Amino acid sequence: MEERIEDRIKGFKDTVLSIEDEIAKEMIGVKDIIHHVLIAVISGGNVLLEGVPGLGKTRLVKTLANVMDLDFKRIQFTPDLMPSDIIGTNILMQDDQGNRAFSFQEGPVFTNLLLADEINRATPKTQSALLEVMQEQAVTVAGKTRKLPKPYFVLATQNPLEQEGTYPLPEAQLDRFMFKLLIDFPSLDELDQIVNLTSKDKQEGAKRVIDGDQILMLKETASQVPIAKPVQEYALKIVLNTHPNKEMSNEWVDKYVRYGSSPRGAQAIIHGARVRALMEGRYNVSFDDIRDIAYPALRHRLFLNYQAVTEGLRPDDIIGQIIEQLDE
Amino acid sequence: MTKQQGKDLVRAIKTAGKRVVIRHMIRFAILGLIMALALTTLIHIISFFLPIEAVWTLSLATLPLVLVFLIIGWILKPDTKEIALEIDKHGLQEKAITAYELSGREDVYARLQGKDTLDSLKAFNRKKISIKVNKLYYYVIIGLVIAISLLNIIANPMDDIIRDRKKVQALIDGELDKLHEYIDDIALEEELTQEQKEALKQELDDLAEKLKDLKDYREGLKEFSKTEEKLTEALEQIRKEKLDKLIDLLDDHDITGELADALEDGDSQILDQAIKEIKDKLADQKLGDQAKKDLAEALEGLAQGTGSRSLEEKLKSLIESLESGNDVSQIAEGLKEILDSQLETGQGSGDLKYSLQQLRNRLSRAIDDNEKIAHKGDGGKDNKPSGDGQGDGDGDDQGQANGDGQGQDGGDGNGDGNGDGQGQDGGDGNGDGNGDGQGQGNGSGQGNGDGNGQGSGIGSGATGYETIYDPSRLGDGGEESQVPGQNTGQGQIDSKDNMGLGNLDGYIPYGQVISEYEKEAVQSMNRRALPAGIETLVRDYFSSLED
Repeated sequence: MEERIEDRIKGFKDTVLSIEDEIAKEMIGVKDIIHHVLIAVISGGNVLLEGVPGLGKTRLVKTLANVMDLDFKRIQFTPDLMPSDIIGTNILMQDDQGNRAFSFQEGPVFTNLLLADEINRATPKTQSALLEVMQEQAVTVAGKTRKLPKPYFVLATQNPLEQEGTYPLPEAQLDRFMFKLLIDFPSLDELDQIVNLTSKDKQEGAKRVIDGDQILMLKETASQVPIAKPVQEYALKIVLNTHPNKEMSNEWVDKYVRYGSSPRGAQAIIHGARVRALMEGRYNVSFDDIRDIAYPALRHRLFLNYQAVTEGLRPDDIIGQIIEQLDE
Repeated sequence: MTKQQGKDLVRAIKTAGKRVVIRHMIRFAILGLIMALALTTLIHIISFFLPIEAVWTLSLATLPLVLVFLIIGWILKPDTKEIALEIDKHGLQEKAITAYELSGREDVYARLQGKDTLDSLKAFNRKKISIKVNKLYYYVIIGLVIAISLLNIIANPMDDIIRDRKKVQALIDGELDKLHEYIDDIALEEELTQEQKEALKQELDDLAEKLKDLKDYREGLKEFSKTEEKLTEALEQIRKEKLDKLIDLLDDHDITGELADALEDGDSQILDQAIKEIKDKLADQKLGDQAKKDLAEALEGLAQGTGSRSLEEKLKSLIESLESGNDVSQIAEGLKEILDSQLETGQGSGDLKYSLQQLRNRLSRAIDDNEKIAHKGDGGKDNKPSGDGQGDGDGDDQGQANGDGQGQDGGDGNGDGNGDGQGQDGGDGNGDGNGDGQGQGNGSGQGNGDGNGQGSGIGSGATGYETIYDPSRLGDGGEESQVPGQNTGQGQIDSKDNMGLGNLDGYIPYGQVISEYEKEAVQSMNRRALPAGIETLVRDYFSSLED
């Protein structure tokens, strides 16, 4: 038994590298995004991808589903989308004998990997329907709770440019995402590779590397990675530092931050750091792991005030300051 | 992680972290040095405001701080956990600290992590851990050294004070030697009993002991004054005892009964009159045999009670003259001289008291000079009047000595004279003179001495301090007294210049104070050994004022 666990630990890095390599066959220039998406997926967290249209967000999720052999569904969020459209509803059914009964018609959330495309275009009511799905991985309709299949991940996208007719995600909704990843526009070289790749007649598609059960095992393996007390305290201090006018907050936070991170931010950092450590081939979490994960785990949990917005500051700037001023 | 693995891990961490401990100790040594230098700087700064003699000795005494800090550093040296954290900073990615915390756990992760850490520690290059300390420490050291150097280059006003203090201390040491000489001299006093000698010697011993470890010179002066007071009391007691004895002796004989009465009344005029009567009777050969016998017995009684061999010899000589009838005119004079000498309570002790007074004056002047330097620069803040005067009188002091020489019969006619000098001060002071007479003796052993007096007058010049009249000091030759207290630089000057004796601006009616002054003068005379002539002068002075 122990030998199997040991093999799993030792093989963790290779497995993840294989996944990354396969995804990289279809995705150019988003290596870091792939890396963090994998960390979130193995940690069992949801990811919010933010980027302008056409950067391959949807393609990334599809590829991920293929490589991991997961059931994949996509919801294109629109203002007229209703909660029942995504979670499902009871409909009146009549059988051959003419008996009528309500039957639950599952919505698209019943899958392993859900792509919530342009999530900020749906109304808050519909967005809220995803709260239970993302946190509890269950759906309650007409008083009956139905579990979603495992593993379960929500990967949502939003467009930072077209703000007209959108509904910014509420804080509670944002907090359900483990990471928020920002997809930048590709460089010239990367763009060249993208064009070449898509113009080929025959593309080499990404192959399946693992399945859902193996992902759950990876998650189980990563959850036991030891973390030293000073390292864990460092992560917690970072989170505590995001709160303005508190004992540990710094000048920048006091000046520019309206609200700091919830405890879920700390959980996200620790879980993510554990996975990252294994992906790096280590059996322990380091300060570097914490620092690396802090940005995607906290940037959507930090709410800046008007002054910060007018000065063009982003949450990453504040997180950078906190890390810089915090001793290990 | 197995137990052996745990032990190996701790050993490996400690080995890899040796330089961490070395750096820690270096840091503490430097901190100790900084502290020592900082204290040295502080001492040097303080030495600009307070006279500190042993600045460098004190500075060197701070060096053991380095050792103290090293000991503290060793006590507070980093433990294995801290070393592990430090090593991790050099590329071990928190492996060491995690492995250290996993010690005792035996799961797969603990085992894998421990092994991985051990491998990493084996490959760890120890030199990655720098033993250099923060450059700021070096800058602080350089800064402090420069500060100390500058403080040594800049002229320190306290150096003058220290120099003068040393002079005062040297003076005290010298005076201590003299005190010891006086102590030795007391042992030679013939007129004092052994008990009295012991009492006086004890007082001087005590004073010498107190002066030895003197820290506050003003306290030294107080001790001098206290000793003077005690000596005065002791000598007064001795004088009284002798006087009573003398009165009893003279009262036993009719011819000297009047002398006894005069002595009891303390009236010098009556005494002179009684002596004159005896002299007249001796000159006119009016004394009967019984009277001569009484006088001879009285002289013999005196001879036995003098305690002085020279006086005894003289008295015997007078008795022989009385019996032989030769030179009877000198008997009365001789008797007066002997009475005077007996009443002047131990001339040696009187000298001692006078010498003590001189010591105190010298010490006082030295301290004054010292404090003048200390107050230099205070300028207008000083609430004491500043002046260009001199404390020592520059008057025309003329000493006149009336010496009566007494020759010793050595066949060559040389005599030794004892003179009492009387100083006349051309200034405002009164001079006291002690004259040493040199007599020339004739062949018969009687000499006429010529006294040479030396007067030391103390004038009343304006000084840097407020000079006041202190009645308790009357008879000290008009010495200066100073107002005690600390100059705060605030407050007002409430003194008046030239407010000496005779310049009271009419505020106090003369009649109200003259009796007090006279009383003080008489008490002062009683305390000190003054020649009878001076006493008469003082009494006449006050008598004339009363008139």
